[in-house]
Amino acid sequence: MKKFVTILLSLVLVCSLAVAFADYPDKGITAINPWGAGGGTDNCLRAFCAALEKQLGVTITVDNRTGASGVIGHEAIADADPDGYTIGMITWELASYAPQDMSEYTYEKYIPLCRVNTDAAAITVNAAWAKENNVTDLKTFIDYCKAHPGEVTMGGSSAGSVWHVAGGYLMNEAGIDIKMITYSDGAAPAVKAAAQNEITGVTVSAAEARSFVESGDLVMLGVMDPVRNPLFPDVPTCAEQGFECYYATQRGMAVPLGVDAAIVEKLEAACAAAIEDPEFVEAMANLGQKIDYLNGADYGKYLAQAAVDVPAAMATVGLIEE
Amino acid sequence: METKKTQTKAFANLIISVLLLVFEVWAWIQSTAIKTAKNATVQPATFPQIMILGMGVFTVILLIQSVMKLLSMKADDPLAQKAETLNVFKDRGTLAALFVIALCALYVYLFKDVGYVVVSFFLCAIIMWLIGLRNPVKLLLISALVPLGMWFIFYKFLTVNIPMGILQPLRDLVDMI
Amino acid sequence: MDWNLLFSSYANVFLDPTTLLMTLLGAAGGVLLGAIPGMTATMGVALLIPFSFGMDLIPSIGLLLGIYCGGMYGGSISAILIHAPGTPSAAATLLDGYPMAQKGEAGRALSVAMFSSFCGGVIGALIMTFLSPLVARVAMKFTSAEMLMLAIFGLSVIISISGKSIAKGLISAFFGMLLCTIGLDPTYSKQRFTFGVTSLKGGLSFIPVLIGLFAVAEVIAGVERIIAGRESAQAKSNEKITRVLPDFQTIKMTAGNILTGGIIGTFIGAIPGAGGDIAVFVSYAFNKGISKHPEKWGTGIPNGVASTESANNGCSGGAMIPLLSLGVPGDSVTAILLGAFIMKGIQPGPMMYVSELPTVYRVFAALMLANLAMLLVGCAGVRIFAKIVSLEKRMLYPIILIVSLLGAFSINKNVFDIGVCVFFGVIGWLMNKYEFPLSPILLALILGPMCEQNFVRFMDLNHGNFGEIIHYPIAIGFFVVAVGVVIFSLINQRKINAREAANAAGSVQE
Repeated sequence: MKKFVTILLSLVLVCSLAVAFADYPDKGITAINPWGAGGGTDNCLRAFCAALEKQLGVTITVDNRTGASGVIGHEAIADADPDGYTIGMITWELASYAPQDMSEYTYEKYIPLCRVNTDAAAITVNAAWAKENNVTDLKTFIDYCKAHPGEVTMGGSSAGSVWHVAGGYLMNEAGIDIKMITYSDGAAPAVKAAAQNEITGVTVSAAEARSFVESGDLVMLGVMDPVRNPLFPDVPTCAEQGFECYYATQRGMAVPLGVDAAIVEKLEAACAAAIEDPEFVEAMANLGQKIDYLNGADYGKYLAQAAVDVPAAMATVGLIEE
Repeated sequence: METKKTQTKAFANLIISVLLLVFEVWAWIQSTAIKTAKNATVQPATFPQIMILGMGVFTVILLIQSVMKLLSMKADDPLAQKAETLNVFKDRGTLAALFVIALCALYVYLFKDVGYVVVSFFLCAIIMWLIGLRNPVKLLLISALVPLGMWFIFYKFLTVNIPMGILQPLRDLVDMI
Repeated sequence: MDWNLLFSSYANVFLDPTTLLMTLLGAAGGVLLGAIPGMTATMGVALLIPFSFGMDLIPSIGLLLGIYCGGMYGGSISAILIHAPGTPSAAATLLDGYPMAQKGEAGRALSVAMFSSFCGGVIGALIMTFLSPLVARVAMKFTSAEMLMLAIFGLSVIISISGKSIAKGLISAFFGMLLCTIGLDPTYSKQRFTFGVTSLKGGLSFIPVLIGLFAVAEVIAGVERIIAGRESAQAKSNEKITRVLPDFQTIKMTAGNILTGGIIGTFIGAIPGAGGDIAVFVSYAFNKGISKHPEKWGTGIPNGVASTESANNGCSGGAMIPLLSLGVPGDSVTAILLGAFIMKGIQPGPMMYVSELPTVYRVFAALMLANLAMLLVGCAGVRIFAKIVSLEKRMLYPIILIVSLLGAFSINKNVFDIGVCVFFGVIGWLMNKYEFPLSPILLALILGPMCEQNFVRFMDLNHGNFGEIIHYPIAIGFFVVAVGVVIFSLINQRKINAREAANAAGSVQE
């Protein structure tokens, strides 16, 4: 009994002193996910954590802190103890909170470790509608929108979501006026509505529109990515068609401010190695998510740029006052 | 014995409908503070306001029904029965219920800092004692083991991270298993 | 229909030991998860997705479908025993399930729930096997207009679950609809009734409200009853459970409810965006409406349990239809299943029936197997679960309270949600005390967002002209049915009130 108490006490001591600089990490790490279990972010994070575990040699528990459109989880990452034992996945939405007055937290509250993935938006329209109006590529589509301002309706998942704002970005870049319709249950109902011709098209990712494009109900006009999507090698990028526009959702790893520089360095190195893990690469390929690595410093610059671009696009779809 | 009119269910309904009307007016005022969106076919405030109006219409109906009942009260009417009371001085049950609610509020307040297992131990033990479980062994054992067991299942098998507060070392211990 | 392929697919699934084992494990896990308030089949499926990475497609789908079906039944266990629906789809089960348990028939209620869950699941699986393409075509006809009117049709059911005072029922319903508008509005992301609280910006979480209104309110009321001397603290159920399946008499009595419940569940489940939580209320109200003794509903009769439990398990089959044939998930669990399919390199959607037909048939078979597994696990569990109510009330109430509050927390891991749960516990307690029915709030919470979003979307698409609705015949059909339901339930309620008055008068004279 006495022995047990001693062990217990020493354990308590060790644990409370566990802000270890020398041999970090020496206990399990929690990875906060601001989004629900089973979603795109969750799949990506769990696959990445499995790879990261191999690098760091400790278990990583994914903790889904959902609610308030991801605000709760993003704030939880920034507010966590800066001991390196709580990391988290930050997503595109982070840039949309401050302009909408949903949270004061911006990218400046985090130390970015790496960008893991980006998924580009694609412009996909109803096939029957396209045929009827002689829309065959991005140029004819934009010409049609210019000739019929406000008539074309596009769906983009829920209000304020990345694909909804993608519509605003498209309007800004192409100088057209389309009406964005929201589908709160996500991308799939929006895609279905486009296939039903309830709306003209969608601005969701290529993977999400895949099933109805393959069945011929929808046609994909272009992807807003520098390179073509491997799922649709025949669909040209927007840039190829003369519209220099790039728009994608992004996911990356971050820790709260105040984490020791040595720990950050160790985590960054682990992330850089994990991203090349063959099992992770395969999982991401199956998920249809594109691995798009940036190191910590570059990811920080990317986040800073997003904090300017996103509010501008949001204003266009009426999500924030101009 | 004839119940006094002010103690009948009909009268309780009257009071409730007046309180509900006050709530509806308050909610309406709050709804006017919702920001408007430009070029919107349906404003963000429209739907809630329709609901407040709907609630209002039926509150007024309830109000009228209650007044009519009170004016022509028959002894065998179900609404002429005695209504439940919230008077803590007359009804020990109500007092106990309010006590439990207060405990729950305290529970929420302390949950994060003190931790699930400890607050649940106290909540469980106090209520058990209150409703007549006086066997100290049973009382302490159940209050301690149920939260511990729940925490263990949730943490270990369902990967739900529950605040442990002062029992945090226990979590690190379980991590090592 | 390719019979050879169908048979070989069934054989393939039913004779594969790995699939059998995985499905059984899934069903056991699902029943347990469903039974814990706050733990839903959705979470179970999400938790096990990583484990299924290393498996072949069919065993992993078997595992996930096992959880799905098991969870649907598991939710009824806590609804019946402790007045806390384990999942939203079990919310209507407590209307009759809990009174049954209070009468000392907990075991019987559980076995009826299990048997009708199984039958409902089989009906769903059969409809899915034979009518998928047809049902999918109907589902493709549902646009915002139809969804709006479907929501209104769902709301028309409120009258029949309102109890004695229809005015009070409707006040509850509108209050519930008002509660759904808390948070960011679904179209323009403007804040509504958030009072600067971050946790309110995403709206109230459904499960903490549900647990609060029912479980916490029941505990508060239970303590009140014990202290006031209206209930014995030592009270416990002494039911002797002699059989795990319902007796022939009960099966015969509820057969009609099970059949209609299963069919209603499957079709509502097949509409993307409408799930088990709506189906159970529609089925309950429908079966109550056609019953010869509507006044007995809500007092603890097996028919009530049968009609809701068959509906929510029928839904699992229904929800698979749009998932496989349209690539559009019917509810939150199938949304996760969609991810599981894609990870395995199979894209559900219109092309799946062309390019992956053997897989489709194996999924049919796996769903059938999952329902069988659920029945097996359920049979083994009835006696164990019913033990819960053989605890004395003075021990049971506090335990329910701490388990429920933890359930409220674990859905989002947010302490704020425990506060929400307690707050709605108080609301529920007050509403019970002053005879406001709780179920309309629940139905409103389920249907409110569906109603608002589709209304706003419809108006947006039609330039604010609501009159355009006349171009949607299915929508008009739903509306007419809704009006019919309202009139019918009003007449029915008069009948019930008259009979109850007659019964009361009769008992006074005796």
